[in-house]
Amino acid sequence: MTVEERIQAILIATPAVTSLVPADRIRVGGSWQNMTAPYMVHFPVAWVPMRTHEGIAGLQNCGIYQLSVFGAKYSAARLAATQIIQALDGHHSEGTAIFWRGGPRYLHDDEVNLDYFVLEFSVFASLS
Amino acid sequence: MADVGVIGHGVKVAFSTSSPVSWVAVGELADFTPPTLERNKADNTVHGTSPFMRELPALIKVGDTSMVIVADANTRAAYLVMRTHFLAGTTLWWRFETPADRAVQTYYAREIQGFISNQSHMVPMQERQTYEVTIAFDGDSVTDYPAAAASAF
Repeated sequence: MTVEERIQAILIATPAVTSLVPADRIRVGGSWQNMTAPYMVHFPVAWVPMRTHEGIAGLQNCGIYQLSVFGAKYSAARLAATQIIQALDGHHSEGTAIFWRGGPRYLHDDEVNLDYFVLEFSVFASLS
Repeated sequence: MADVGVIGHGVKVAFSTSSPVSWVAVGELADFTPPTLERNKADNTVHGTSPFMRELPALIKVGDTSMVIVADANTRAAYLVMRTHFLAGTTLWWRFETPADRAVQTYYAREIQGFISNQSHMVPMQERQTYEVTIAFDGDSVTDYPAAAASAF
């Protein structure tokens, strides 16, 4: 399971998140058009390979995994951001550990008139 | 093309409790610092017509060797063996092999005797756990070997 798949699975299995952002509007990066708010997009930004002198280590670190949550108004996106942090931060499963590392940083998209927050996580994942 | 340096990636470390040696590999090294050699200097100045002080070469200090090992179930066994020797104060034989060519096909090896002077388990909250081991020199020689294929450990 990739990190993207793992995070997708966690988010769509968390009722506190899907009650605010329906599961079919939780997406990995892509050329999504005309999505209805609220929605979110998540993707890895910066993998930092970890090595030993024997070669690439089994444990890898995505130093920045970014998630953006969009809402029709500030409060809707802000509330969703809080629930996303609670769902992901401190998650431990076989091969994956997730830590909230930054955000929520507020932004507004004038073109579509949406408020959104950017969240950053640090993800440790096993290659196996 | 001229040789333009060799990166350190690929270092191998092993220890043996006896001689003739039977090497036990230390796996998953994340960092390695080989022993430094530093010769003491003794003042050998004789006051006379020369205005310059003089020194003569004294004995050589062999610095500590240190390594960082990624801590997991695979490295735990070797770590516990080293811990036993640390608690007992046992002097061990050590062999360090560093890459001699960029293809990492040959290695320069160095052998010393030494005891483990420090052993620690580092547990950072949001990083991988490591074992840190320091070796103090306790022998009569530092033996360097020419470039050769890696040892079978």
